[in-house]
Amino acid sequence: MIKCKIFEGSCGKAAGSEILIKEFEKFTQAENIEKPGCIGMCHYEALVEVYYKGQYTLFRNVTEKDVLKIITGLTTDRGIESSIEIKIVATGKDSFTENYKNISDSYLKQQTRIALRNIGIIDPMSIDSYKAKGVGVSGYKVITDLLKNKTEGNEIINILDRSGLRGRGGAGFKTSLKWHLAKENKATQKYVIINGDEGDPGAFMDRSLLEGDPHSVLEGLMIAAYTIGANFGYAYIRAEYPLAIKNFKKAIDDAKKAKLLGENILGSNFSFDIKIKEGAGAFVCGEETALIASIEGERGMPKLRPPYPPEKGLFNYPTVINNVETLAQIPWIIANIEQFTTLGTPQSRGTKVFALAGNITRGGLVEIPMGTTIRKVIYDIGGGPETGYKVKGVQLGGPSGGCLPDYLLDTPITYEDIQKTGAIIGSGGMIVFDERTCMVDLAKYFLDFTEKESCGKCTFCRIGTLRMKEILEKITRGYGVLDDITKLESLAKSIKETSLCGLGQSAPNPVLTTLEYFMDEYLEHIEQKVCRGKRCKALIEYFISPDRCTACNLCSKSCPANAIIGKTKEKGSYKVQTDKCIKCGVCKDVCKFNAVDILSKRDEKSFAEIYGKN
Amino acid sequence: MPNNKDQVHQEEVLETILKNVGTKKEDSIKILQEMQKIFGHIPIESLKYISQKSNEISASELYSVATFYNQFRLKPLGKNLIKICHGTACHVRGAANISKTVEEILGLVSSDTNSNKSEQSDTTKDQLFTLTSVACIGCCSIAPAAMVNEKIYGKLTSKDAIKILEDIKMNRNYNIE
Repeated sequence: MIKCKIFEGSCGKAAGSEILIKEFEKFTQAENIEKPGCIGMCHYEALVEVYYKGQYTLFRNVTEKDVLKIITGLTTDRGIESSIEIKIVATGKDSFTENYKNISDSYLKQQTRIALRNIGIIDPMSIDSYKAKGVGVSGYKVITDLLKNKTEGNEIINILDRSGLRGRGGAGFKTSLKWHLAKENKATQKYVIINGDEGDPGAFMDRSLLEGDPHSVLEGLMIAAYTIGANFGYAYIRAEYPLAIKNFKKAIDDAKKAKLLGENILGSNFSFDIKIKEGAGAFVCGEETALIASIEGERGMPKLRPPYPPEKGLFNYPTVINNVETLAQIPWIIANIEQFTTLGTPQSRGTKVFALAGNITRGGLVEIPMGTTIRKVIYDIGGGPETGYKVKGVQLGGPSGGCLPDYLLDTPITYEDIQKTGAIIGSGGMIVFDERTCMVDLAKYFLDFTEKESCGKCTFCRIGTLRMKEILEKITRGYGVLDDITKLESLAKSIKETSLCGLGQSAPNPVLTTLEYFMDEYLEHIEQKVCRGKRCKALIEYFISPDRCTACNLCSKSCPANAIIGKTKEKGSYKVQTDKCIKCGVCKDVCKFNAVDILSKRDEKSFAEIYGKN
Repeated sequence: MPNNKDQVHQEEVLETILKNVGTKKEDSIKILQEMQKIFGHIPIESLKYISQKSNEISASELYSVATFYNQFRLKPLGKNLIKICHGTACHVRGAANISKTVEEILGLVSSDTNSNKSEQSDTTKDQLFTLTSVACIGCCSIAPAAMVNEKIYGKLTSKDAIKILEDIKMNRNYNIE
């Protein structure tokens, strides 16, 4: 009898996990197919673990066509054919979903998973699975013990204080202090809120936690509520995460059925209930006061602080807002406080989850102790850049963060060390880029984002980011002048100093860090009108090499702008009409002979000399 | 202008929404979200109706909320909603090219943030496609990514984008191998 586990998160679904489930149902009954949440090894999606006759085998990048081959390979004498054999990640007598240590693959082995301890191991849709299979701490054991022992809130705060836990959402504020301020307040009504508005492009750890281990976040929230004396909570989850909303709703329903939510939980004096509020698409709502405004039904515009939320927050009551990753860690930390204090550095204790993506071989979720170097994450765990390319740099902290060059990769990842470079850890997004990225284009991309997401309240954020964006547009179109750089720096300073909230205060960071570390690219764009990354559409041209082109006509047929002319089978006749070309890249994608080149002004000259201009 | 029959139907739907969600200020966003689920967009006329039924929400405040958040559309949606992800990982892996390709084929300029509230159309004349871009759907490891209706596609190339559009036009389901 075949049993299997198909890991299902949003990426797994995108990689076709639903189709795989249908395929496997042809060979085994539906109840033999389990669906744990995503394990965070995104580069291996779709991942499937198959059990047959006492042996567990983990397969990666499984497609619909592979299923029959896997079944045949495992259950007949024919054995596993080579195309499937290379997809085996690990095989053994123990299920890999019981314990990460069963997977010898270096990706997981080198991680220290606390927030991510359960994803891929438990069934996120089952509260019993959370209770029974929780790694390092049984599900809901911590809150149960706290209630049973009537533990004082101050005792919990002391444990958190010892842990040194800092908010994992980006601000890095000390969690114990936040809870302490709210607890001390004498107000009769208090609130706790899960900040699930993971808006940083490039961050997906909160999504994975809400999808794959929602109960750990819920339990963390309950512990916060119990500590500060709150009886009601909100889970603010962004609308762009439908699966996270669905799975978290199920977790709430199941907790209610198990009497872990509601009046007098487990016979104690603690009553707690929670409601989900969906975000409506506003990056700024990740900021605490904007999030509160959103829950109150208003435009998500930040407010002046003080007063801070733990003093006056939702509906003017003391409110503790914690990030998803922070909350997921709480139960484990309380149960394993001694162990937690051995991880990280004095100012940056514990572990942090990073969402590794971009031009990287093994992208996915990586949780490592603070103090690990960027280089270790990118090379040892992430497998380094894609074949044939070199790491040019890494972007940390999303649109609030900065772009660091390759020579800073030995920087240890701690709040203090990263801040010194001009970047921030932020939510943990880590985007690796190689020489195919243009730094000016990347800076413009971030400004584009923050300018659109600016709520508009502060003049310099509202108009300043627009002006900075316009200047970068100018530069990427080849009309930049040296004075533009001075203007960018001066605007950046003003925006940072006069903005009310973190969005404006950090919006200029990507520009400032690229100016500091990649100035030569700005100068090339301005002085030579050259884009070395070959991204800026105004500064590049698509060119069909007469030597490699076989005149098969595929590019011309596929071109959505009808910009390629030529005669089939007539070598040398194919040309890209530059006035019609929209530089979409389809021709390069479809060409089977690698005959399409992207030329920057620098190359163009030499090609023009050899072949004559198109 | 909706005719009387449409108007009555719309009012019935709004009544149900208000009954299920509430009419307090804090319910504003949920009300708009439910409206959008049913109508596909926020009909301007409905804002007045809601403010009449609520003591706490005014039409102008509701309008200010509807125009603030990216999720809300004031113009009707096409049959198929394409959201091309422009998150950082997707950008680095060529989302700009995907957008350009789709825009060219559909003859549209993709809308984002507030531009879908402006005059520019992001929907094809035959109402088959609406094209938007989204900041990040959190599928960075399979960049470049896009959502067509609720389905997520990853590791897209411009070539894939063309095929997906064709398949939708021909009513086929597309899977990328």
